[in-house]
Amino acid sequence: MNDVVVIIRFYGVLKEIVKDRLELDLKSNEISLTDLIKEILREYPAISNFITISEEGLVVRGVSVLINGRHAMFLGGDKALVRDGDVIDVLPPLHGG
Amino acid sequence: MIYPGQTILRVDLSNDKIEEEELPDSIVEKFVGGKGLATYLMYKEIKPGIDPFSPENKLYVFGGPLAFIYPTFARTVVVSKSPLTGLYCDSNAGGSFSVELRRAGYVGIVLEGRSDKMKCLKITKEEKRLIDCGSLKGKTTYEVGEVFKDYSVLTIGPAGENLVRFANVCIDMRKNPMTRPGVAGRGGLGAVMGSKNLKAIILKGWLRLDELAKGVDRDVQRDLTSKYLKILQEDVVPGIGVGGNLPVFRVAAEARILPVKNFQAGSHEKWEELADDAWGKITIKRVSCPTCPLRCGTTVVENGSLTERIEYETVAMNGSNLMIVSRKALAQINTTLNALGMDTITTGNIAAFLMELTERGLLRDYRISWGDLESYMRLIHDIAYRRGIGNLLAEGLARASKELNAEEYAVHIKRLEIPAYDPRGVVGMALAYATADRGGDHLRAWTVAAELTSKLTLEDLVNLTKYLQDRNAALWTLIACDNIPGNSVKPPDEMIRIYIRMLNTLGFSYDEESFLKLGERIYNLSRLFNVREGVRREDDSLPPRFLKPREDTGWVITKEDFERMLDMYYSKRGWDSEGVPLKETLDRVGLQGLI
Repeated sequence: MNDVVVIIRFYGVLKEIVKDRLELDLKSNEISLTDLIKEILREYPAISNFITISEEGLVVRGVSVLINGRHAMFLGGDKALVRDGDVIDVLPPLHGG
Repeated sequence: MIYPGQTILRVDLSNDKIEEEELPDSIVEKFVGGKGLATYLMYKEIKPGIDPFSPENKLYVFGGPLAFIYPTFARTVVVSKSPLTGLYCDSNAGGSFSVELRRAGYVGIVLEGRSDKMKCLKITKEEKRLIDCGSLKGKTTYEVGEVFKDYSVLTIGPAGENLVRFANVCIDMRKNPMTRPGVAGRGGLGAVMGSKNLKAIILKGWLRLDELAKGVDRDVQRDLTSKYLKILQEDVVPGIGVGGNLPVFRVAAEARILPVKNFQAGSHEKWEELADDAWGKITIKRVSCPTCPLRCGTTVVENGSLTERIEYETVAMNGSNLMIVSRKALAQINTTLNALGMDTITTGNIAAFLMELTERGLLRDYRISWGDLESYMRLIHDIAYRRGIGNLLAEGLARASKELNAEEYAVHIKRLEIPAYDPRGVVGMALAYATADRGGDHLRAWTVAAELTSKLTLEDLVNLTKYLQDRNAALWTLIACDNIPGNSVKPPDEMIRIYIRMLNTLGFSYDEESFLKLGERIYNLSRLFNVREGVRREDDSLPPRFLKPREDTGWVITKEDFERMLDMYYSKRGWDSEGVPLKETLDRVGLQGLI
C-alpha cells in the first residue's frame, strides 16, 4: 500500500505542546477522528488537558477541530473519517470575550 | 417589597415630569433587576414598529439588586429599541453609576418623550429634576465628566447628539479617572438619548449599606463575600492578565481568528506589537469599578499618547482589521472614539469595509487605504459630525453598504456589525452571533472558552450555546460583570452558586434550575420583541463573507452546515422553524399571562 499521510496543524497553546505541524502516516486508507486523536495523545499526552477521549467519545475543552476547513461536528464528530491528504486544524480555546 | 429600592424613576422629557414607581413583587420575582426588568418593561411599553428616534421610544437605564451590597455588581445596563438594528438592544457598562443608582434607592430609570431643549437629569437626595444644559451642547464625554466631577456621570458625546446610529453611552469618562470608566457601546443607544435631547444623567447616591441591605443576614453576607473574593483572587485575577481583556489578542492571533482587512485573513505578521505584553509595558495605571477588586481598567501611554480603558475589541477592530499596527495610533483612536461617543467595534468594522471598497476600486468619490491613520482620524470626525461620506456611514454598515451597492463586503448580522472574532474556525461563535438577541454579538454565548467541556457534536454545541445565553441573561439581572465568568480560568459554576445565594439573602428563592429558567424567560422575551418587529429565520443568518472559504486557511462555514445547526438550535429552544417561540415554550418559561 502507498503511504497514507494526513497533516495536522496546531495553533496557539496547542502548538507549544505538540508542534505547529504534524504529519502522520496512517496504517489504513482511512481512520476515524477518534483514532487519529488517540495516536496524537499517545505521543503528546499533555494535550489531554484540552482534548481527551472518554467512553462517550471525544471531549474538548474549548477546542475546535476542522477537517479540510470544515468543522468536524458537521462531518460526524468523533466518527468523522480522515483520509490520505486531509488537513486537520486544531484550534485552541479562547479566554476573555 | 422583595428588596429595598425596587423602585424606578420614570422621567418624561416632553413635560419635565418625574415620578417614582415601585415595581410589583410579582414582576420583580420573575425578572429580578437589570436586563430582566428592563426587557420586561420595554416589551410591555414600546409599541411595535415605532421609529427608535421618536419620542415614543424609551430608554431604560438599570442596575441590579446586589450592587453596593456585594462586590463587583457595579454594571449598568442600557436597554432600548436600537436605531442601528431596529430591534431589541441592551448594552452593559462599568463605572460607578449602578452603585450610585442603588444608593439613590432606585433599580432603574425609564426615560421617555423628548425635550425641546438640551437637558441633564440630576438626581441627589435633595432634588430630582431636569436642568437646562444648553452649554454642554457639543461637549465630549470627557468634558462632561470634568464638569460634573463630584457626580457619577452617564453621558453622550457629539455623536449621540448628532444621532449617529452607533453612538454609545459613557460613564465617568474623565482624564484621570479614580474608578474605571464604562462604555455601553453597542447598538447606538447614545443616539436614542440624543434623540430625547438628554445630554447626561448626573447622580449622587445617599443611602447607607444598612438601609439597602435591610433584612440581609450580616454573617451570611460576610461569609458569601469572603468566599467570592477568594474565587476572584484565585480564578479570575490570573485570567484578567494585564486587564481590559487584552490577553485575548494573543490567543485570537495565534488561533488565526483575528480580524484582518475586514475579516479577509486571520492573523497579522506584526500582531505581537499589539498583544498584551506590549500593552502591559506601557500601562501606567489600572482602576476598578466601585466595589470590585479586579482593576481591569487600564490606562496606557505610548509616546505621549494616553488613553483609558483600552480593550481587545478596540485594538483588534481598529488595529489589525485596518492594518494600523501602532499602539500610539490605537491610543489616539480609542480616546477620540470615547470622547466623541461612538462604538469602537462598529466604527472599526465600517472603516475596514470602506478600505476594502477603496482597494477594490468600488468607491467613486472617496478613498481610504489600509493603514491610513490620518484619513481614518478625519473619517471618525466626519461620521460624528455627519459630514460628507460620514453622513452616510453614520447610518451604520447595513444602510451604508446598501446605498453603496456593496452588501457582499459588509460584515454584520441583523445590522449589528460583527466584533473581533472570525467564526470560521471557531464555528460555535457563528451560531452565537446569529442567535444573539441584539444582533451580531459575541457576549451572549462565548462558546470557545477552555473551562467549557463538550463533546465534538452539533448537539453539544447547540446545548452549550443555549445554556450560555440563558445563564448570561440571568447573570445580567444582578448585574454580574461579563468580564468575570469569561476570564475565569476554572468553570465559574461555584461562583454562580454563590451569586444565587447572594440573591436569596435579599428575599428571593432561586436555585440553579430556576435561575437558569429566569435567563431562558428573558431570552424568550427579547426574542418575542424581535419577532414582533418582524425577525424570522432569514435574519438569523451569516454575512456572505463567512460563507466563503477564507483565503489564508481555507476555513469555511457552508450554508447547509449553518442551517443544520440553526434547525437544531430552534428545536432545542422550543421555537418553530421560523424561530418564533412556541406557545408551550412560553408556558414553560413562565411568560404566558405576563405578555
